[in-house]
Amino acid sequence: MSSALWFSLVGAALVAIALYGVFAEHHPLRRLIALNMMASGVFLVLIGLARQLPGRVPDPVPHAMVLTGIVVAVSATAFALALLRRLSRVQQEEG
Amino acid sequence: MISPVLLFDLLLGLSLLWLAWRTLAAHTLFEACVSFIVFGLLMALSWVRLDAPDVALAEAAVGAGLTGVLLLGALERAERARVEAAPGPWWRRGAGLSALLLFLLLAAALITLPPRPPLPLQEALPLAAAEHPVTAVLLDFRAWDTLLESAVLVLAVVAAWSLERSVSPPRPAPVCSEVLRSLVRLLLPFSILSAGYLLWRGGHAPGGAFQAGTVLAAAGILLLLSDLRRPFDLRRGYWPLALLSGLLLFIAVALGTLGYGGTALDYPPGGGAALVLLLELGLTVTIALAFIALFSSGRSRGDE
Amino acid sequence: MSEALVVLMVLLPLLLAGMLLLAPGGWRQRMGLSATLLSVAPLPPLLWSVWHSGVVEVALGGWQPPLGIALRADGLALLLLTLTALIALPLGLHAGPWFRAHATVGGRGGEWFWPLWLFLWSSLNLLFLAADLFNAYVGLELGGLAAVALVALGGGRDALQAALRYLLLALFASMLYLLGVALLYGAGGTLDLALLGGRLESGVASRAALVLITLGLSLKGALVPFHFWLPPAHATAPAPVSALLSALVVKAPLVLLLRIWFELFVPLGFGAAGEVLTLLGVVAILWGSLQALRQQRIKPLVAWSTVAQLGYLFLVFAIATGLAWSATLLHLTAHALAKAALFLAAGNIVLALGDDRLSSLRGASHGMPLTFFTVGLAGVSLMGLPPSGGFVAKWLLLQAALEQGRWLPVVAILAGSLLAAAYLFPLLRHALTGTLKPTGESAGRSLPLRLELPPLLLALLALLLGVLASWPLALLKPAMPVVLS
Repeated sequence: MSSALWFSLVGAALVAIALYGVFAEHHPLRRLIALNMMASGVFLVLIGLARQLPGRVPDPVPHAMVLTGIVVAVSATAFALALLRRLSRVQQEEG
Repeated sequence: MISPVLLFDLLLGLSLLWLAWRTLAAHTLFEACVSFIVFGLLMALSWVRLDAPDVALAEAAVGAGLTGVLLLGALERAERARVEAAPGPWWRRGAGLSALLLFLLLAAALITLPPRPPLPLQEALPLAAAEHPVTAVLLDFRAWDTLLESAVLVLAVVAAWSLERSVSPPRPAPVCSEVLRSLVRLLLPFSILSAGYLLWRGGHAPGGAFQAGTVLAAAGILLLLSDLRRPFDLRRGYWPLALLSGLLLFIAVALGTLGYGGTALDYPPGGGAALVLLLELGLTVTIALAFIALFSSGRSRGDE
Repeated sequence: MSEALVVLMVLLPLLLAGMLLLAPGGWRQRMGLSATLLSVAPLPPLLWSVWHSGVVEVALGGWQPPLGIALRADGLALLLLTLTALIALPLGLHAGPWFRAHATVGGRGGEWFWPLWLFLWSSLNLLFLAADLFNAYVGLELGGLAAVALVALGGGRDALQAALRYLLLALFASMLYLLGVALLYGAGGTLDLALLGGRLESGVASRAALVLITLGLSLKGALVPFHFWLPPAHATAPAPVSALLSALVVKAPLVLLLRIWFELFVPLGFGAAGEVLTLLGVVAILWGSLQALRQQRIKPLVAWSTVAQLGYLFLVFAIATGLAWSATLLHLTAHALAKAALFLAAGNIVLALGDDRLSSLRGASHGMPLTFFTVGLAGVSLMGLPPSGGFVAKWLLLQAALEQGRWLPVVAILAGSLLAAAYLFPLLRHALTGTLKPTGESAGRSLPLRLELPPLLLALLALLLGVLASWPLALLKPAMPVVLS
């Protein structure tokens, strides 16, 4: 087995573990962490695919997709945390 | 006989899975956040092993660094949030079963994946506006995606601002430590320098706007935390313009090329490299300021 | 020339969103309407061009797929761009006064509505035009974030809770979608939808991609049983936002799914999997309607009606004929117009009465006859009564189902119309009977025309669609996927 395929399979397993986390957790922060983990799994699958071409140079398109994906994921995470903070505060005010 | 390199990869992969499980099974939220940060660092190592140094740089800075800081910063409030009731045992079993099925499906798909036709990169790369293949994809072949990505960044900041009630400038609780202050004094010039270097390097080697922007953002966040500078409000003055610069420059280049040659983002001959550098400069500023704004949003005295 | 128009459809709202952000808060509200008009400007010439000379394709950056990204303006895209613009214009008239009136009763959000809506608009236009699957992913994320932020403008605990839940769900669904796209890229070596169609072979990877992409997009499209997030989000958002969400935001992932399904998966021979989607669509029609029937509050009732009406859009997967495909898109259009009208009217009612319980409607029609006339007109289209757009769409869908001998969809379409009459009737019955009993300070406030006219305009458009149905059908015909024509 090539290490590219191995990391792709690890990525698949991460997606599966994170899927369990998204369903089985109930705290929004834990769900958010699980979602970030799921994103990491998807990115691993993609980068693994980039290496599965003949030749030494990896395919740059999945790399670019992952870079874009990382920025999108962190933006969404930051907004989700802002939302969670706001919700917690409103809950506190309303008692 | 397994080669040492493959053994290392096997161990790295297994540690990733173990840490993922530890993160989910952690008893406290704090423990979960810390496990996830360590997980991010191991991810960065995996990117290096997969010949993806650009992604490794971004992951170490954004994935592990920034996400970790954001998670820890929200911890106190998150712990006080009231949440829905925990799901029952049947729900958990169902979740476990779907996770297993998903893994089997993905594994079968990945193992049986047929070889795919390669992209015509050999012919296209010499014509691209950047030498480094990943930069060429991000800012030339698929620059349209990157334009929209800068829109996502700006939107995340706008979305976070729209939640705020307070008009006073954000002021994260400073970590009042002399050590941190001297560290920041020491690191600040260094991080600006390395951001510049990363940006310049991006044209021909791993690096570029993403990495440079995050390094700058990290410096800015440390600056806020160390309380060296009086809090500044990114919502006022010329800051919004600076925050938007990456997006607006990108749109301007798209409209300019549309008017010049009739195709959006088709750089004029000979002008590609300069335009790409300009776009990267704007992106760096937008990424850095967006992350600083997202970190400090909702932390005004009135909001916390 | 027309290539430039396609790009402008996405870039103009984005640029205007950025410019509004640089303007001070008060100016944003004043300039919102002009930004709406400017964003619509490239549409008429583009529509003209596509109508007369067919599909416009743009290879961005001058790089053709598989290396570059393409935008494809076909009849389907143009129908949806036009629909979005037709909803945006009345909404642009309505949102300003609504947020101002909302502010007088302690609400907020007006200054952020316009930039967020322009971001959302740009993402919708992008999703309708996207020919590249990863580009569509970025569009889904852009639209998802904007939609969640718009829901959170509601500000209260319920709205924030609904927004957070919506965001987590949207992220989860995008990850499933992206994973499916990754597998397709691994199998076909391109992200371009048209090129993938020629390169994919039936195998485990394409099957897994089908499962993941379909799951992800139907979560975002709120197909039963993935609908749980929709009623709280659509019911707690500010009224103009609810209208956008129900009319357009849930439709965009569905359109993407229709494209991917009939351009990739059906030609690969996976069409039989559509039976499951159609079955869930039938369940959605019945379950959504029954839930709407049980609601005691106005906005949740309208939100549950959306769950039911979305069910019709999934019947096409098993019927799988050209007629069913056209009817589905016509239904999507008719529902978008009628539901936008109904949500705006519902928002007016809640604003005027200061209360959203059905029982508080007693006698309310005397104060705002135009708004209740709008409710009635929108109801006609939602129930599928002639001569509305809803009627023509359901009639064609029924005809397609009968031709294929699909009895379950036939029963669902007929039962859905009866149930729609049953759940919409209380809105009017309470209002038309009895006299208004003053419940609060704001009870019985009369509404300005700028609030009452835009929803009426939308309801009239829904009605008019029935008469002019041949136009959208002619626009759609050349865009029909090859397997269906």
